Amino acid sequence: MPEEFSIIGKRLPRKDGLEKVKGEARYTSDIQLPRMLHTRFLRSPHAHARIVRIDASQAEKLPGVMAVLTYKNTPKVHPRGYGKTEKFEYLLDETVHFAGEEVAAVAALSKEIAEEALKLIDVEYKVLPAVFDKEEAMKPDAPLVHPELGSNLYECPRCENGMLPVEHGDVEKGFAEADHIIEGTYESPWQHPVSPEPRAVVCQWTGDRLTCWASTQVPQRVGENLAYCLGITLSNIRVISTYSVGCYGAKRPGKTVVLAALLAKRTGRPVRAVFTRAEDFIATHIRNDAKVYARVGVKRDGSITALYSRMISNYGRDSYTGYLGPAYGAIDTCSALYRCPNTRYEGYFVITNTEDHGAMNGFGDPQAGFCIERLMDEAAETLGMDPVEFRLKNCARYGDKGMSLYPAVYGPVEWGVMGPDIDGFQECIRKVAEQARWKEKWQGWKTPLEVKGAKRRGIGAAIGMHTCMAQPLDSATVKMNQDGTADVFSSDPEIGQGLITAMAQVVAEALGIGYEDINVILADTRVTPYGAGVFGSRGTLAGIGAAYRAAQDARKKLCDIAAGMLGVGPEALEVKERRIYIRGNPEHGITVAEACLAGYQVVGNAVLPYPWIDEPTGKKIVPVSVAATIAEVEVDTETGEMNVLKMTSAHDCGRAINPQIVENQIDMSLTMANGWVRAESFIIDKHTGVVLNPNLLDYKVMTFLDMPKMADMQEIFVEYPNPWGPFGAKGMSETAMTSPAPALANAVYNAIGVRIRGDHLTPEGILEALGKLTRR
Amino acid sequence: MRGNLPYPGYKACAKVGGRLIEPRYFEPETIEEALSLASKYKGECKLLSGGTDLLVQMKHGEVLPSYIINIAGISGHNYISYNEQEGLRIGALATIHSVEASPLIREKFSILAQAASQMGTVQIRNRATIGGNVCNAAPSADTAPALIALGAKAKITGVDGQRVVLMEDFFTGPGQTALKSDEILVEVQVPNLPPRSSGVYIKQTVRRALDLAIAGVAVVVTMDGDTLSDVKIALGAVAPTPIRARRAEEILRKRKITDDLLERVGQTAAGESSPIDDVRSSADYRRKMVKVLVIRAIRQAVEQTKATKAILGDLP
Amino acid sequence: MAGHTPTKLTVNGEEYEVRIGLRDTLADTLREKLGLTGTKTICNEGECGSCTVLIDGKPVLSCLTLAIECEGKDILTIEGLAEPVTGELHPIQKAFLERSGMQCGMCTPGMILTAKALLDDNPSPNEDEVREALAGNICRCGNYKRITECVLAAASMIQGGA
Repeated sequence: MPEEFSIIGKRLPRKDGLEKVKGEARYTSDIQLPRMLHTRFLRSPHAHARIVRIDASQAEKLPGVMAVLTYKNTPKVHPRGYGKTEKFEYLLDETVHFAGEEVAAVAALSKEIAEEALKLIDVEYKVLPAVFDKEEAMKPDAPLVHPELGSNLYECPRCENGMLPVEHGDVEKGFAEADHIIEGTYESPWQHPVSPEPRAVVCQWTGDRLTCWASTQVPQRVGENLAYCLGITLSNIRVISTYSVGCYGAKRPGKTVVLAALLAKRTGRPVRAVFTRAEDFIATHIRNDAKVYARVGVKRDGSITALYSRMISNYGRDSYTGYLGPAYGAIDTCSALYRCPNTRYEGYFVITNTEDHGAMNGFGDPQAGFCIERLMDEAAETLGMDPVEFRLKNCARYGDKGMSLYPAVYGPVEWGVMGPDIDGFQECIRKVAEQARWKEKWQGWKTPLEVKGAKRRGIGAAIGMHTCMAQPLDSATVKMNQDGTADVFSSDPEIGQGLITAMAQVVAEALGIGYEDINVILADTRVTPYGAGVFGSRGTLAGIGAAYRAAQDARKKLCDIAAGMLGVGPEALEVKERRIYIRGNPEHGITVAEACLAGYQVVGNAVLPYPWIDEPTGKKIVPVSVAATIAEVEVDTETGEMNVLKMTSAHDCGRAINPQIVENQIDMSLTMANGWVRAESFIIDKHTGVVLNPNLLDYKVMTFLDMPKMADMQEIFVEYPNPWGPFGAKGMSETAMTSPAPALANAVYNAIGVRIRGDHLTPEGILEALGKLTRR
Repeated sequence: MRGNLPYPGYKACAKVGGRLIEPRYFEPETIEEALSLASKYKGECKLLSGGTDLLVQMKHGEVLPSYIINIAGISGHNYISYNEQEGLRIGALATIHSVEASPLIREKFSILAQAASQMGTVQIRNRATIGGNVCNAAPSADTAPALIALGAKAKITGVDGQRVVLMEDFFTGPGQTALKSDEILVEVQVPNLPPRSSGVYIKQTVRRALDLAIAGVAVVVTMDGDTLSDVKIALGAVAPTPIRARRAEEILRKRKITDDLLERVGQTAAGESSPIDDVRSSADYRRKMVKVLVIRAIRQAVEQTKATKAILGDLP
Repeated sequence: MAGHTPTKLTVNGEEYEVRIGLRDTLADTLREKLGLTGTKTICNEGECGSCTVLIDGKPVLSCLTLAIECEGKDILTIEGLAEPVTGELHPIQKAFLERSGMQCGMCTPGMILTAKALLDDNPSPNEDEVREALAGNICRCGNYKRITECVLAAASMIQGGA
């Protein structure tokens, strides 16, 4: 860490920490307003049905019920989806498309009254044929989820007959050159975000102006959605997301917020809608499950000549993140993770009668990575090559091809390059191998680390890649106060990832003032400048990147003022420790406060410039971050239980603005990836499409005791500065989700000698792989 | 197709059922008072002790009692006492935490402390009572197999007097017990174990905390040299109620353990279970786990009897 | 339907008189009637630990406790942990603050209170004891390692006379 930074790189306490440890942080579900009403939703028990008759008159008469919405008295509009696209769904519809979809909304004086009212709404359904399995839904005779689309394949603009191709070079030529061709079909499971705060919105009208509090990652998008659906201007909408909660990709409350706004308008009272935990499970959004058939060609020397992948992703009946949910897997993992000139990806996004599927701590790369990294392990084994050596040899490097999402899904196809920061990849792999004592432990293929009775130990490795800058743009404002302190404004919310803290550290460093001098004001669309929100790990490059540039703009203005006061050119000045002084002559200067006062109101603004061009090649930079994980496990071959002994994981983050925050984010994804493949089974009834385990007892997220002890969880970060990132920093959170799951799978293989290509490493999944159990 | 009724896995969303009348709430000070209330409001009331089962059921709309009789505050019923003749006596209102932490139980009936320590979470164990755990009668109840394997009895008080029922006869179906609607379980009695006895409870779960048992196995052995002079095997979560695996016990009783014998014992015990497929696990897996866990529990229990010091059990 | 039973609840050393419905849980009462929203209800069904409060010093799930049974009991919520007059944080809160023991913060109040009960009972726990004591508290943001570190650091602080 260079000595010149005084705030960047420090383990400073979080700015939101005090409120959170005192229980004073006010989340959306904590908001109480005078005369506020409570909301409950009536939900369809059928996965696909037409409402023949719906009669809410008895419910409306129940004392304490203030308004009931059904499709009959609700505007027939499609809420906005990703970007400015429309979703298929209406706010409330005559046809329901998944079990649990809302058919009515009730606002009442209390939750109990609202629930009682639900029982009084009379609904007659005509059940329609439904399909839940993605491969079933692709069959020509499958029932159509949205008949108006004519097929169950979601088509983004570049799709050809429902298939998205992403191609580079010539895979057939590549396979012809290979010494070995290895292929396999792998599955990747669902995962529910289980955000600690269920979907929560509060809406309040003052005349024609709407204020909406929402637990969301994309407050501006929520505002745009409201404007579009309600037919009002953005100037009449204010969306506030002071503390959003663990969105993990999925917090876009879409139609719920519009329905709450309509209820608030109809009743003339503020309305709060908070989903129960069960509702959050069944009617928000889950990770696309996927099936990947992939084929790789390798030469004896270990190099890769061709990689073909065909990925079928379940789209659900709709998605707020559209093809984004799976598509990054196409451009990162399946095309760019490994050095290979000939790659071809074919993607299918299949619509089914299940809840929205989409981004969930990762846009497709965790799914693709879980599959491709098992294939690559098999390739390394075929070559008799150490799997870590294989990754070291073939991992992507600066100048290798990459593609951003927009050209991939909209066209025209344009390959860019990954930037110089990607050269940190080999260091990630080396460091994780060193920390995990790989060379000492790895005993070769088909040789477990240890066998003791029924218990077998194994070790496995995997690498991963993910975007750290999902487009589009972002902006920020830095407003100096007259005493030399500053406020930073950005529309990106704090969702727990540490954005407030990291942004404050960057701005303080850039302005030459103190961390404690900075206020960070986030996610209030009346006040904060436009920004797309946080997703795709863009908080650092985009959100903080814009704040950094805004701080530089403010600093420049301060220097211009100081230059005038000091009688020198601004280039002669330095700003440090709240003073602006002539370089080499620190006594000859003024305080930042004096410059602010002289300037009356100094404001710095910035809109993030993008794209970035790689000077040597003139190509567009594709920002990604990378990871490498080694897992050590012990499998009990009689019970199928897996004990995870060690997780060691290395991540490139460009520059760690605050190491504690980076470590926390790594731990989050390590824990979530463990849960994903070891225990989190999202169970949907094959016949009815009903979610059978919408609760935290039967949907099993990891507990303290399921994760390794402190000394056995090692987080490593590697710093190769990204030239366009604030002080070289970039995001790494979703990337951290791409490598741990396949590392576990590869470790299990080393332990038990059987490759699990299916979707789960649960005890039953492992016993089944060992031939001791037949899966139901 | 009419209706908006809840469907599987969906109860928490649309609470249905029961009259929405505010329940009447009572805090009786004695068992007699509680009995009299239970009798008066027969069929319409629920007893509340720790609330960790009842409140969940109420939230899900499975149970909406018109009268709630809170017996948690009745004094004199949360004791844990022991004497040589009668063995262990646990008041029904003793919390699961007090059972887990009791030095007495850890020393002399460690399997029970072990089972208690694996039930729920710290927070739940602070409120849940042993009486509540037993009377809720979930097939997977953690204390049940241990109590059955210890030969425990349930002492019941009703308006007509008291009676004692063997714990293995106390459970009559999933969520059902031998209690009549105007009776209360007041005490759990565990007879003294012969010397060189020890027990083990193994709970098979997916996660290492919070989970209900997919299969639960409790084994208590009494050794005479290398021979098992007695053995009791109880299984949880693999039948409509917790059960004794009597045929498996028969094969093992008065024998020395060998690998082959244990194989047969495990296999037989698995055959005595009748597990179901549900969202938590498959019948096949459960049955296989019965065999694996019975074998392991027997081995561990036998090992434990060899320790010369007082055994504290396999506790955290 | 609206709560009509007047009840006295002692929360954080203060007496509140509230009118509650007989089926109202302590969690809902704290949050909705007393405005003490520090206690969280991530699942509201007893499966996550986020609603943990201390009743007579013991950690319990407030979502599975009826408000009416709490009359006469001493309830401690997260809002009552810091010194009321000076605002000085409890060592556990200090440790969480200094070491980034939280991300989204929803599990934090329940986690801190459960940890307090542990340290009140066992002032020098080892790592295993911390993990066991907090095993009923879910952290979806995956900060188990960090939280363990914070609790152990708090224990040192308390032992060191902080």
